[in-house]
Amino acid sequence: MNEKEYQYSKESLLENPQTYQFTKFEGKEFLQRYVNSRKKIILKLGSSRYSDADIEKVIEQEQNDSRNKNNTTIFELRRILLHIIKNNKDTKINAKFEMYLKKFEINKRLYDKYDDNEKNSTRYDIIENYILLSVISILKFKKTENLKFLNTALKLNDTICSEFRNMIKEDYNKLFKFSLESEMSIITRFMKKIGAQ
Amino acid sequence: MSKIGIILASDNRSKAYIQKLVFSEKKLDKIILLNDKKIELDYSENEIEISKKYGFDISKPVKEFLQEREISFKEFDFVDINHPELIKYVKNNQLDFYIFTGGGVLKKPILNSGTKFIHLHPGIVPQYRGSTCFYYSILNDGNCGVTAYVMEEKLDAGDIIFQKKFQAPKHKFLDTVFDPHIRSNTLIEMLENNLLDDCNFKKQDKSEGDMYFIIHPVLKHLAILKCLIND
Repeated sequence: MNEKEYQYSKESLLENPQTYQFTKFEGKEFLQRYVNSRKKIILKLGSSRYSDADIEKVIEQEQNDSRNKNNTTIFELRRILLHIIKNNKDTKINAKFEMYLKKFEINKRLYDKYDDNEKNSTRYDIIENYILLSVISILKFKKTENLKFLNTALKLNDTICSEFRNMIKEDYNKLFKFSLESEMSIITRFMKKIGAQ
Repeated sequence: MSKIGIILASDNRSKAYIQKLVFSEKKLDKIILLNDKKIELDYSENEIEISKKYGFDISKPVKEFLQEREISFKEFDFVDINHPELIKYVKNNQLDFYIFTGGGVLKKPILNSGTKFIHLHPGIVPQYRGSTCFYYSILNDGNCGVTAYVMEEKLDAGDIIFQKKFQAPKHKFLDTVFDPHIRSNTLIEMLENNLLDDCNFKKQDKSEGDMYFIIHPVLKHLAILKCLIND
């Protein structure tokens, strides 16, 4: 008999976006399936992990190496991530983050480039963009406890897990691991708190 | 007295609204049914029983309910609130308010039709704007709320007429039964207190609060389990 699997990261979510509308309630077992599914992916991501300081160093280096691409989504997301890690409070940067969050929540895709909040590219398969936005959302949740950020991180991580077969750079593997482990630790804390373990 | 109409659809929310309005003998000046003739879902006995305890029958389709009671209504075969035919009809009837059961954004032509539209949003604004807010407030605060407000172009940002808080339910049917119940309950209380007549509405600070998006199934499970485990 086939064991039921966590169904929200199975098939390519970039090709077949998940709307998450009226999802079915499946009891405590569903949460266990979610945990098992995430654990499987975390195992595949290797044993080394990033601290906040490592993330800052890696992203800063990458940002310095790509000054000529300063209007792409990846450049903007790295900029937002550095601001958050450094605890800078810039309302324009925050508005930019909210724009990307909204774009993903509505279309479940992040395009390579946006001009004046409108997409200016046909590419939405750059997995690094999803990983960066996921890490930013997790860090924002850690700072604010606002569930809307955790909500987006869960959806982003579903998407990244569903695309996991695609090769990504080692640094981004570690970033993704940071995000997934953080997400799972937050969710298991919630599960404990309400007695749903 | 304000002239009030309602725009219904063939969904659970509309079932709760129209049944509770009729049972509490509230007078409506116009009833519009936007009917896309979607197939009625099957509901469990438990769901039906809980809906009845809340004062409506989830298994009773809107059109059937109206026809059985010989209540006159205007039917359109589309569900688009911004449809030109609907705008024309609304303009010709010139009511003070329409209660709009659906979601979505009203565009300028319908907003400028000379009638105000009331929406019952399942969240206390400005803290909880957007989608599936009751799940977020159950997780954050252990309760949920409804805001009756006058619709404008920006989502969930209109003037507040009335707000009401509810305890989290002790069952799992939040989408199908609890959400329609808390909205319809707030609607009836708003009308019983004639809150539309004095037009003493409260402006929202649009820079405050948060916009929530459809809840992820993991968070949704946590919210429902919180309701069931704390029972």
